[in-house]
Amino acid sequence: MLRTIRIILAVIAFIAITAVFVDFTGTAADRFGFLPKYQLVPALLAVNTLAIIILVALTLVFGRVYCSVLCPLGVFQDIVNRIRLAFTPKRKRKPGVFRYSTERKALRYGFLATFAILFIAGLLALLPQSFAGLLDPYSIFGRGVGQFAVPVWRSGVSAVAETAADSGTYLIDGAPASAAFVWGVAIVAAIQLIIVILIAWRSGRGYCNTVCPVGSILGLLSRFSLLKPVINLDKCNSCGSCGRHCKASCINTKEHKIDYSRCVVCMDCINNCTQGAISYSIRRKSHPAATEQAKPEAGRRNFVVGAAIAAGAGVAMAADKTTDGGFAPLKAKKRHAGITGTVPAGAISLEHLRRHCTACQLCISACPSGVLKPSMELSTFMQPVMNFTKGYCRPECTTCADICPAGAFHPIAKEEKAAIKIGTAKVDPNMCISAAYGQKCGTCERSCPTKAIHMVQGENGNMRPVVDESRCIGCGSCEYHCPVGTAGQITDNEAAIYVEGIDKHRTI
Amino acid sequence: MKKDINPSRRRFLRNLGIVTAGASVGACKPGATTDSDKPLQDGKMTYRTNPNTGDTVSILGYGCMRFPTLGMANGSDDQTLDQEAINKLVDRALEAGVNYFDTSPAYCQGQSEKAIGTALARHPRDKYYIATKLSNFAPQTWPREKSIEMFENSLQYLQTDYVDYLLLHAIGGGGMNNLHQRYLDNGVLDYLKEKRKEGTIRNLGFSFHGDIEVFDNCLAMHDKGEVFWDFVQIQLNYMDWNGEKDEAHRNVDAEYLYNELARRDNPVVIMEPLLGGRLANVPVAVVEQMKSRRPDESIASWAFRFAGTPDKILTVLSGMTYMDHLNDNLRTYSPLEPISEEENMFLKNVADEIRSNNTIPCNYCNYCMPCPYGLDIPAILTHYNRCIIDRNMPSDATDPDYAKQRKAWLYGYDHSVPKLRQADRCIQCGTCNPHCPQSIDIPAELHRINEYVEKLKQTKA
Repeated sequence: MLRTIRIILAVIAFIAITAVFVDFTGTAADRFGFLPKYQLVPALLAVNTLAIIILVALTLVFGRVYCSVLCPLGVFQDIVNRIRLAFTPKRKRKPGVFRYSTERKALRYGFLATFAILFIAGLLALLPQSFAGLLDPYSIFGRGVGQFAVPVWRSGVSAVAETAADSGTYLIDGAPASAAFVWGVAIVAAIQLIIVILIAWRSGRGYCNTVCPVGSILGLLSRFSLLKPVINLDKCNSCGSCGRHCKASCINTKEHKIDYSRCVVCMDCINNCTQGAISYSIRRKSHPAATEQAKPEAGRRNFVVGAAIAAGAGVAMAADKTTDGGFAPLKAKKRHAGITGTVPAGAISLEHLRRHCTACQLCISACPSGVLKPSMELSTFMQPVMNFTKGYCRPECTTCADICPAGAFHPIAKEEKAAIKIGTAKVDPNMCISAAYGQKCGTCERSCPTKAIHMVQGENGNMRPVVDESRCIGCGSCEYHCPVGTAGQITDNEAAIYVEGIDKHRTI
Repeated sequence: MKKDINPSRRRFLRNLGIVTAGASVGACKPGATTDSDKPLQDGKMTYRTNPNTGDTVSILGYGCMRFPTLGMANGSDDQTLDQEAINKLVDRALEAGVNYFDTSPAYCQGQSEKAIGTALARHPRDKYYIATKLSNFAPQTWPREKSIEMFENSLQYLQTDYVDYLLLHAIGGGGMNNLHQRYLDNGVLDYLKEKRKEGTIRNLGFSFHGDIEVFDNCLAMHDKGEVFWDFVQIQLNYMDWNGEKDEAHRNVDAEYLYNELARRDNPVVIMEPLLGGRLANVPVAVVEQMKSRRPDESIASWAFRFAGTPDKILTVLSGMTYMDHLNDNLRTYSPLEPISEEENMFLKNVADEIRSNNTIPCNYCNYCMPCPYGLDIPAILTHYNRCIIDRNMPSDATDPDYAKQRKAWLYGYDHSVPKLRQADRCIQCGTCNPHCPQSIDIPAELHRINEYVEKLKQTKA
């Protein structure tokens, strides 16, 4: 019964949290957007007192239900185990596939200490918080979903939406362009997921009880939890079934002891006890954990950071029109190399984002304009950065600020959005088709939502854009709409007007 | 086994998509018509006689501007013409008595002449008439040598040593100035007259779009005996015939254009009888009226009957992309039942009703394309028009249907036009404007549409 409740809740939470990532319509985010905010590491970063109190209280009363229900990576490992069971021959499966192992204390607390150091280094801005995020289970899950499930889901939905729209039915929203997939992040995500899967395949919740810092922190609390699985020695016939079914490998059947710091209260032992000797109840006396026996488990990770390729500039005339129909080819616009990164309103400052973002990729998955992209700079590793080649930061949108669980973005009001300055547009008059070549344009001026760009006569007599830096908010509309880099006569791949981020955002 | 099933299933779904598109959304695509139930009688085609040469020309002429592409068959973006499909269309047309084929070096990104030449070369040369043009897009193609080269290329692509009907393409754009520079001052017209004398050109004429002064001047040249126009091609349909008759609308007053030609006994070739499919895609109220009058006939048939009715008309061109377009038009014209006086009044009211919708008069001719900045101009204008016709123009956020309509508008927009080809990318350079035969101020319309899109995006229900 208890196990069934646990499984139902876990499935709901897992699907809901995955949906928040993959659903681009915002429906899942509206309903379940609170779930990521109850993930421990983001909640700590956001100083989300309510969430922290609830999680601590939950653990002190029920034990590590967080790991069994709320943590998507934990549930993911249970799914891996289900699959593994399906691959195990029936006769081997019968008595259970796990066995007790002692706590690997040195490794476990070594990882916790490493995480604490990275976490503090992040808060002190010595490193980007995404390095601590490498150990955060929620962020590992988020990167996996963001890099793999999101693109797959969206292309699937797009295909269906296309078919529906062909018949004039717009039941399904077309998926927005997303810049989520970046090779560097995908490789990191894949390596981490593979490690998690391998450990889960071999030893159930081995990852949670040896590597995961959240598991270790909650383990410190769950030792003292009010409710626990308790073995009634009067009923127990020492068959050892509970130990073989314990995916946390924390039941020492010989000594009839349970290591509550590792128990994730999955209730599997209770279900599998033929004698009804285990009950989820208040235990009178605490038992010390078994002796430690360290074994190395996690592999080392290497990151490959791609280098930016600079594109050559040049001017060529468009082909003469001699026939009708057809399309001018579109080029893939690139951002100027070496300019200060721009991050969305709500981030407060580059520093603030860097200190709080664990790189879970939720904002990147949620961005309806396809503006956010994971950074491949080491100083902001995998954290979101804006890229105005596929879209710009629209004045009515506050999605990233609403959804961030880690407080890296603070919520902002919609009305306030268009008044928060996150960067300033810069003009390269040598590339501008109006300033340098006298072509009639002014697209940047027309598309500017804050009317910060004006076309004025330049020294050479051509009209050139100028930026009123006091009104420009850095939304990137000009850079996105600039024809240079996308189409037209100039063969360069960069826009002639581009946004340079400012280190501290401010309201204008 | 499974692997074998999947692709065909996908193909099936895609075909299903295309079929349904043809029935609903596709109606906004060029020349789209719905198949009617009127039985088709081959061998009953109406013919008209060219008084100058005695040519017996079918009232239905095949316009070669909207030929099917490979992409239409396999669901890709491939714009290469589908020669196999074109062969089938041409065979069917000839079989049913169509004998006039109108092409140009510019059509279908320059592929049209070759495609129709290939298809027609499979039939005896005396079974059909070929019309082609000296096109005039880029000024680089204007000099005499370039024009001669263009004409000689046409002969080669069309696999023939003579052209039955040759037109100066779309004169009127750019006024008298352009006419002089393009055809008169550089001796190109003299060259063509020479070719007519030789017999390489059997009929010499012009097609007209734009400045009425050029039309009047050309007819004056005819009257003065400077040049004899064997025929003239004009835009005629029940919208342009029944338009406003003031000075501002003289350029497109089809009644005036036709009467000027008829009184000189000049054979008239009709283009845009269906306004690029716009007259096959009319408001629901008009559909009901048309269908209650002639339930078994297509909406498009009204436009074709109208265009074929005046007796000086030699042939009515239709750019038929699909076999069902062709069959529907064959039904309408085998034989032609002229529009009665009473029906004429009805169409006048229909024209007023359509005009009151304020759609943009884009006929999807693609002359504006390619836009140097990558926009898909006809697709943008068509989506906008489609939303107007379907009464899907949300403006009031408190309207209970606003959210639904807004979604349909915006997602339909993203579906019809890729993001980087939408109206917000227009730089207002104006390259397109001189090419538009309907004199639409394209950059201004794109700007207006984009303002509307912005408003929709920013105002959620």
